[in-house]
Amino acid sequence: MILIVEDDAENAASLREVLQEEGYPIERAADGADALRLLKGGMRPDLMLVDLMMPNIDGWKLATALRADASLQTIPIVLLTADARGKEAAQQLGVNAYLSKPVDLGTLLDTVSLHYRSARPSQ
Amino acid sequence: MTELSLRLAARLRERRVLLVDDDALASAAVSRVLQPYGMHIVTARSLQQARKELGELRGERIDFAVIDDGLTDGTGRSLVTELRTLHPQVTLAVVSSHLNAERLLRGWQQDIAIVSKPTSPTQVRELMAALEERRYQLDVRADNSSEKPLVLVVEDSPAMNQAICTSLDAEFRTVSAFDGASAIRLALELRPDAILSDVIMPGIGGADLVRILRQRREIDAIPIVLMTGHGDERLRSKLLSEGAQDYVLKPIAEEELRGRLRNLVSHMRVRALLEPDASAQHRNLESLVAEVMRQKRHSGLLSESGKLLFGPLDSEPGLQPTLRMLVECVGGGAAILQCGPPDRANMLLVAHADADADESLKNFASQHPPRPDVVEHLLTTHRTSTAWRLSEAANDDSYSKLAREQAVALVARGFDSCYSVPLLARGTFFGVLTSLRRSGQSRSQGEEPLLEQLAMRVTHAIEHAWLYREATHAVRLRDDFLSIASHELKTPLNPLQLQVQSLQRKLPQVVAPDSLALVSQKTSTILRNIDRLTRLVNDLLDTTRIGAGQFGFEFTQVDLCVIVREVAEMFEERGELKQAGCTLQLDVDDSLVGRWDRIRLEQLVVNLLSNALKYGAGRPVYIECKRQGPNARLSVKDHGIGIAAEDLKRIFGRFERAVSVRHYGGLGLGLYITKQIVHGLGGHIEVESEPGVHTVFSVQLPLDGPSETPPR
Repeated sequence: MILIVEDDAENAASLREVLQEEGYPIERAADGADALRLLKGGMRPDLMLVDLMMPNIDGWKLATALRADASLQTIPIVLLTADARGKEAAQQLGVNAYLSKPVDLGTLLDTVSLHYRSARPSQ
Repeated sequence: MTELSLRLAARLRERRVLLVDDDALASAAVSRVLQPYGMHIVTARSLQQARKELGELRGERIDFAVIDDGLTDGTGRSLVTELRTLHPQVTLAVVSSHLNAERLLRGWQQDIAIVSKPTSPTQVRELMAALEERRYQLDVRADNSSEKPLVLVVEDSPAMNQAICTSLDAEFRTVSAFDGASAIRLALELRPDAILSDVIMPGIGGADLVRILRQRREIDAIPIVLMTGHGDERLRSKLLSEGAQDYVLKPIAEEELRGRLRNLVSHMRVRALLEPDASAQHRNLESLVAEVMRQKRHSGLLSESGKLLFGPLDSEPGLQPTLRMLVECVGGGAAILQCGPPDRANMLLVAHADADADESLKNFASQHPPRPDVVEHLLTTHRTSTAWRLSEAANDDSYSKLAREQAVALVARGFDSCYSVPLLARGTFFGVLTSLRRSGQSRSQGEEPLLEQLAMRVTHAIEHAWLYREATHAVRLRDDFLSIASHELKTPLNPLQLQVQSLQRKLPQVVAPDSLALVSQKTSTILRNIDRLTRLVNDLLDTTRIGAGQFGFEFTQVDLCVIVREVAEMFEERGELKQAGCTLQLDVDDSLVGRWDRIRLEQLVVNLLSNALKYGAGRPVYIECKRQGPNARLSVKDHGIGIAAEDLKRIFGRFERAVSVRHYGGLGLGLYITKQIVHGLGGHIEVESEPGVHTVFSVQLPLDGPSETPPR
């Protein structure tokens, strides 16, 4: 199951559609706070797609919070970034991968399949 | 004196004398003595007769009058006044039987010789001689226009005196004094051009004479020549040091004497001509120097104030230090009441040259922050420089009650006199610069124009800083907006691209085989345009980041040739080449690895290629990528519309375009960003073009990446 953390409804819907067509079960959280609530409540996705959403840094806080929590830090995270600074964010936050928006379908599917159910990279 | 000198006798011939004496015999005797001199003599026996005779004389001149004091019908003194009125020039002698010091002194004060009755011809002649001398002196005094210089000859021996006068006659007018006292009197009265004096004289001798004359400021410039005998070396030195100009040895050599006097006199005359100018000039020079010094101080203040007021662009103008400098230059106190610009609070700044007055003013400023109504009032009343008094403001009803109380508070601290200059620029009022003096103190010279000059600088500084803040704020707002806008514009692109790409994948499954090509072509078109849109929005975002200094790079080992091939493939796949109608030829090395930013490098290649296709007019595009020493060299050549020579430099500028907006679209940002990327990677970019023939963009990138400080 993939948890999509994305506040833009259209974007979330498109991601869900294309991933569901590939056979992945999808859950969605509307923002970082929502995602944390679900996770603290026991949800354990096999992959998280998190929008970094500049200038809003919900994605940052979320990723930082996850890293701090022992039970959650193993969940693979793929960041969706709106610009080319994704790599920097990925390194800083210790995520598995990043994708630049607008996301290329092929790249998205490859990345997801690569990191689904894998462990988090060591720091 | 048994006989009068020939000179004197000659002068007497012209004289008219009035003798008033009731003693007929005495009168006759005097007349007899004077007869040989040919004088015109008028006698009278009484006051009454004297008056009658004067009446008959009418317009005619009387030179001398000798009046007996004790006349039968009154004293001679009453006649004196009448005579003086009718004949102002008359030289008077009163014959008195009672001579005492007091009468003599009184007579002297009135310029009347008080004499005892002459009993011998000698005495008569002496009296005449004295009157004549006096007369001559008066004539000389009246006659200033004479070319001949006047020499006062002081010699107690009458014969010597006459002899000297005679020898000087050809060149000089002479007046004789026979003792020191009369010499002093005559010197003061007549201001001779030179004084010639014997040293040895009874009473006030030559030495004393020199000393006394040099003490009188009015005559201390008159040259004194002393006559001394041989062997008076010490005396001569002493006299010269006391202030005598020169000396002649007795017996006097006439030529030498005349020569010396001539020199001294001409020297004195030249000096006298210059003297009034010199002192006026001296006064003018002093004030000129003072003026120059003051202007120097003032212009120094103004130029120093420039440094304080116009610091770094984003700093506040140094108003307080400027005020301090002002009061230290001109003294007194000064204040700036600042009531603008709109993004700054009202402020009252004060300074005073005296430490305790400074304390007092600062105290006042902290207790009385600027009031809106005072500011309001100033806005309407202080449009021009004004001199005014706090004490008057305190009683002026047009001020609010609280403002008047403030004025009173300042007056109580001893301040009263003000000169205010508004800080006014282009109709915007920023406040007031005021010079503040204690009661009774006046402003220093030139202070008012200085204040006006300073006020102008202060106003410019305030306005300048404000305009800069406004401008940077506007730019920041714009950049923030662009940043948000580009982000918002990008948001729908994500689902858009995902869905179309997903659709394209599914086409074979959902579309009939004979429709596949058509539908596939359409989805390609859609994707291509999504790409264009994405690129445009990215350019916009990059531009704002460049402006905000956030255009960063991440350096890794990147293979340029791989990127070029990948970009070419992508353009082919997406139908860009077909759309543009251009063919693409690559002349690319197998591998060219350098320390660059992968994403930016890709952006660079994409920009250059898309430009080539856009302006390529459907003709072949060549891409060459080769190693050149320590650099990689990438060039993109198209055979399209080209770029005019005058536009070549401009096109790398932000928002610049070499073509019209309507025909070629785009934001005009591509080359600007391209240039930023090239510089960020440590390289150079050049363009060469022949309009209508070809355009070549050449990029040189160091394989080692940029040095510590990237080239601009």
